Amino acid sequence: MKKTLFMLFACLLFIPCLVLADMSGPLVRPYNVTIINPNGAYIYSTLYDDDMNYNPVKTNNVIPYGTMLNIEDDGIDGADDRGNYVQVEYNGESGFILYSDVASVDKEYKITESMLGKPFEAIAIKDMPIKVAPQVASKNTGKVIKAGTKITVRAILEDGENSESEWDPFRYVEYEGVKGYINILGASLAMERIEEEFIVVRSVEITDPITGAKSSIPVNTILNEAYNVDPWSRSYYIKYKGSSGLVGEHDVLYKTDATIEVTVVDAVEVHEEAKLGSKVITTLEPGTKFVSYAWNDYQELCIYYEKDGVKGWIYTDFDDPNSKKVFDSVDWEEKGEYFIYDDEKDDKPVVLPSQEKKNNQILYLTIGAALLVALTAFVTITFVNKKNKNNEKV
Amino acid sequence: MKISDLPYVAIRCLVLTIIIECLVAFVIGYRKKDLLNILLVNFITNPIVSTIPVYFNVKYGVTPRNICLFVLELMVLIVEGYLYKKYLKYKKVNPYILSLILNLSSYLIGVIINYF
Repeated sequence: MKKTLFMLFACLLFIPCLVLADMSGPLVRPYNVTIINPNGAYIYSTLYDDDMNYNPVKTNNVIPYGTMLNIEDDGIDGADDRGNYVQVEYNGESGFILYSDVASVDKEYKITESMLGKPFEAIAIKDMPIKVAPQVASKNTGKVIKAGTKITVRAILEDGENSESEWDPFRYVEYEGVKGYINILGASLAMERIEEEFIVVRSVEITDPITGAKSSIPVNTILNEAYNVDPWSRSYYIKYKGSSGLVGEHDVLYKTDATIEVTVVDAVEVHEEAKLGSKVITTLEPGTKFVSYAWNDYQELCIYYEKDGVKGWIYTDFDDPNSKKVFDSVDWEEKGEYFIYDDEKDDKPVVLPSQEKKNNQILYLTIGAALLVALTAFVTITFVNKKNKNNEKV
Repeated sequence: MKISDLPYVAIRCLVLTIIIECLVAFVIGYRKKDLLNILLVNFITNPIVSTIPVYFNVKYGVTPRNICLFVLELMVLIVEGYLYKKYLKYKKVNPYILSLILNLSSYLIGVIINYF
């Protein structure tokens, strides 16, 4: 009986961990706020209409000035330029109030070393005020990290868990003697460098967030210096030929080391850029095979084409009713360098013509080195043992 | 594995093979100069076995690669056995059997390492 009760109790404790582990939304930290708007805070019943257009509906209900509330700070709307709302419940009514109408009353956010992740280097892309607590409505310390500054930040671990959540909009920072928290939303902080290279699918213009300088990046450019920003901004911070700025996640594709061979089933156009209305540079007939190292097969189908010196994009956007549906036209067949020691694959690896020369060089050099090592070892073993034989004879 | 990884994979393969085979040889009873000879024999055979099949894979496919590997391993057994017979002082184990034992050990332990 005791065992059963203990197991039940353990399960009850375990379930919240599973829920937390499954959470893909932003972390929430409930905290206390007070209404600071002298006219009170109007409650909005909804923020979006049935068509999901931003259309806040203000009610006549007002939460008086000075009222204390407990809220869960989801952080997203705090940086959303559509508005800054927090969900509240007041006198039995649920709704939204503006963040600007509240201020945190928590005097201290207790943090210990065990609650902080490993430090890592980051770059402030925008001016970032350091807050007293990891809460959107928290007071500022008065210290601001200027855009362009390199800083060391740490993730805030929840309840001592070892996993760091990418969905936390706050990071802990110690800067010029001030300890506090910065809100990374709105692509404010360039964090971990991305190891993979990107290929630009359409020409883009980037603006340096620090200097304001504008630069153009042509289509098919390979970007090898990119950094993660907050996941909600759906962009990357990149550096290219002395310029820097943000590119949208749909403006680039990962350039993979593995390649795929594509067989065209229906005639399909290849465009200069992965953009509707872009100039058509060639048409591929059914049966055409080519190798690609950058693709996606989501709603916005995008495949890089390169053959005989021609570079372009097979592209369609399913959200646009005028776009040609090409998804059914492409037959995916995956081969590639990945599978050299994969016994399930019978075919030899497929590489791009531009990669083949480099691969051959590495292959022949390595085999040459192996033969040289073998020969040297053979000479050595003969010499060593001959020497020993002579010594023994003596 | 990518072609660009081949040199590192070959070196890692060589180092692991040497460590495993010398350890197994030590357990069997081989010492000092014999261990040195076993080490040198592996320097002769292992780099060739870990690189040549890759060439066949890249140029001709997986099946030719497997055939090449099989032939090379057979040759390795014979060559290593011959060299062990010629140079090893500790004679209690048949040199060709020794070659089989050592190569099997390094292969099996490699499989275990890859599994984990």
